Amino acid sequence: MRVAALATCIIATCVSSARADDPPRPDLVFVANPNFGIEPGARTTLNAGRLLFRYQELLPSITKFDESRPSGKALGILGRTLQFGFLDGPLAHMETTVTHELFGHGARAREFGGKPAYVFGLPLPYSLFLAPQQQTSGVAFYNTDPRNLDQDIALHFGGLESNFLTAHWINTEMVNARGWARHSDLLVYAISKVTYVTTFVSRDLRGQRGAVGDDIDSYVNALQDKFNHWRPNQRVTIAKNLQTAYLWNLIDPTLVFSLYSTLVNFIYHGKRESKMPLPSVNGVTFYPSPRFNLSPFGAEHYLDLFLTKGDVVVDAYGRIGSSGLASYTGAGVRALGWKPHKSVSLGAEVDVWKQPALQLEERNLYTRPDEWGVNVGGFATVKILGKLGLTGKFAYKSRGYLQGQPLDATPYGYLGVSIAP
Amino acid sequence: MQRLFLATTTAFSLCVLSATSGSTGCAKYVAPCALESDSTVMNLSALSRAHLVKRPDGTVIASWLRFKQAALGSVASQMPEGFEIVVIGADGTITQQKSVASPAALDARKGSTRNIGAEWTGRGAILHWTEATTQTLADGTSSTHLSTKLQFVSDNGQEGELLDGLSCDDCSTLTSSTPFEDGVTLLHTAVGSKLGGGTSEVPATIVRFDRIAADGSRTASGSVPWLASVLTPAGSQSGGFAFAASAALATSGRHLFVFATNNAWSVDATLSPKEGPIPRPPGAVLAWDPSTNEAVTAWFASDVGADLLGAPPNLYFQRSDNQGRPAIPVQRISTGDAVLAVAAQADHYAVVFSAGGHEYLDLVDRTGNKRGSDLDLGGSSVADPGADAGAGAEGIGTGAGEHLLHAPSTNVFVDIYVTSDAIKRRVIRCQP
Repeated sequence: MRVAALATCIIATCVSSARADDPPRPDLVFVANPNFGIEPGARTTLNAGRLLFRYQELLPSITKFDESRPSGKALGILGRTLQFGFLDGPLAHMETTVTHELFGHGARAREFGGKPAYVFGLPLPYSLFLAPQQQTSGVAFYNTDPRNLDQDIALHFGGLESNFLTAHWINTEMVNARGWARHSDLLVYAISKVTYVTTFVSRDLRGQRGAVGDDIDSYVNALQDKFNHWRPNQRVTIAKNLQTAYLWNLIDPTLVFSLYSTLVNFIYHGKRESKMPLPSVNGVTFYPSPRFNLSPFGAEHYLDLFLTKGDVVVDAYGRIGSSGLASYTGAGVRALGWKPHKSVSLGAEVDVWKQPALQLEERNLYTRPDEWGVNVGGFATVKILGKLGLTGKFAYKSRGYLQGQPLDATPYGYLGVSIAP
Repeated sequence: MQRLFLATTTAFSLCVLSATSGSTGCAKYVAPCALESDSTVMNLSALSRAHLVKRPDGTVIASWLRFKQAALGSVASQMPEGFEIVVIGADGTITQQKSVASPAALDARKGSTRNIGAEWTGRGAILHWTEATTQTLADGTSSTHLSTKLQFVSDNGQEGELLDGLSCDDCSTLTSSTPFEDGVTLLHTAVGSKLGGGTSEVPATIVRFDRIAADGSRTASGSVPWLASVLTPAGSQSGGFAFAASAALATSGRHLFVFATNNAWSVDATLSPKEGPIPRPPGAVLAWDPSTNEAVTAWFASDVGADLLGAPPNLYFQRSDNQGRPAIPVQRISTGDAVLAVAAQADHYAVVFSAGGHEYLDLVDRTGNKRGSDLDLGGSSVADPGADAGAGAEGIGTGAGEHLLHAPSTNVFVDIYVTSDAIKRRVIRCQP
């Protein structure tokens, strides 16, 4: 009964009107495509998570203390620490795990015709005391030909790629909201960004390849295979370059802000929303932000320049690779939120790249020529019934790598519903 | 902001135009080699296992023992009825076909023979087999005497003199043979604790050779002490000595090779070493590049530090000079299960190998760099690669299913191979 009541409340709050003084909230978006691809999967899981995190809106009536008094403050901090440790943290961990397995590894496996299977365990910290033998909170199983090197490597980085893409969408929506973000979004952002951080900073990554290892070990193995750098000293070089490149993931102001928001704004002050200070000139808010990603050629460094005014947010970026195994660069721009009509919101994206050609059918191909590629796409949301709208994306890309998108040349996209806050 | 959006959508339109005009991406990969044909030269009886040898004139001899039609596993099924020879022309057609009857001395054994084999000299077949005679001694123990016999049978059925090869008591023997320079060279190896200097812990090895001329006459014979000294017996006496460490003969181009566990030597017709030793890792197939007088070797290994457990082993490639000194560092060129054949041509080398039930060809340049991806040649020619141990001809090694890969003309490789029921021929054409 309690669960049903909670679910009812969550759904009710989902469609309830926001107060005028509330920080702006992004639409809830639930989209899918036939392959349950990375981008629609990451966006849908993010928004499903937001729906679950609305349980917080039930809490004030249950746990309200007079925090002007030290005892009340202490109780408030204790309550929110417990909430963080036993509710919000596990929820965010579960969300990033589902994204990672189902719409990361799983999406890449489905893209190559596989039928992946999954095993999910308990999120932290419950796994520590309820399932101490549990190795990981989620695993995806898939059968592919590991000698199809371009497919093989995408299967390995797909999980983390989906987490990084989730973080990028949170960042975009935060800039669109002039820096406002919910505590839960920032928590998901931080966990998405630091997945496998311990492996990235471990010296073990440079050691011998072995049977036991996580996605990052497998990714380094796959880079060795793909570029035929099979000697142990070449593995050391690949791993060192990846570890150095990973610093780009950590020097991220949003990541720092998400940690500050969690510890100070949420746990200490009890705020469920935080506003990241973003510079503004002539009414245009802008934010240069580093973005990190794993690609079929090694680490990829983005520099995004977000600009927002009114409902429109533009993300112009350049990207460059640092693995030393190949030359791979690109640039793109995405604009969202243009409203030619009060019921219609449009967007567009374009990305152009030059990178080693992907050959998805060839076996053990080690050298390839560089190739230009392009991705173009459009977004549309049309309100059809009050806050309810239809939303989707339609795009075409040539063969090549672009974060979260199919590798092959193909038209692609997704369709779903959006619910205005 | 609206301007920025319009600029973006303009770029969008331009890029759609660019993408649809085909100016970006999707460039079709062009493989450096293509399988031009894969045809059947002739069908074989299910009991046959053909042996392939390339002759200097470019023709290929396929030969096999024809066994008596009887239930598998019966004594009769172990008895050869005769020896079949087919000469395959450069264009894949059969130019000669001969059949030589089994000699009376072999027929008389009625099954108590081992290691039966044969080679065609050009005028007839030299058959070899090992006769086993077991006697129970006065103290109740038994002793087995092994004796290797050779006998020539001409194309017209005339039998030559029955010759003795090598004999020993309570030992294991193996004979390897190959046609070479208008004759046949045979290499006999015996391992046993009762051989000179041997003990139950460290059995001794003796090696002998026979040189048979085209007319069946024995022109030379003798022991090969240098080879005996490098061979190390493996296995236990109770189980019969395993010949993992024995020596075998094969030819590559105009070179005769003897290869042992870890090395190969170029030798003359009487097994005197000329060049080598060339390192030969386990399972390696070796070919001689006559244009450079170098050896090329390809083999599979799962090196510590280079492989994931469960991942297919790596395929390595190495060029060595005629003394076995590396000409290039070892190169990794693919992954898979077993090397089937190696061939050299001008400035490129081809390696045929099996992986996951398929056979592939890799093209490698002189620096060991692989050109393109693995060329899929089709389903595997043997159900169990590695089970069919024997010496390849053009490429030398343990072989998995008999393959003879050679380069009859510029940019063309021909792979003649034996399946369980046919001799087949693939033509692979490569770009310059």
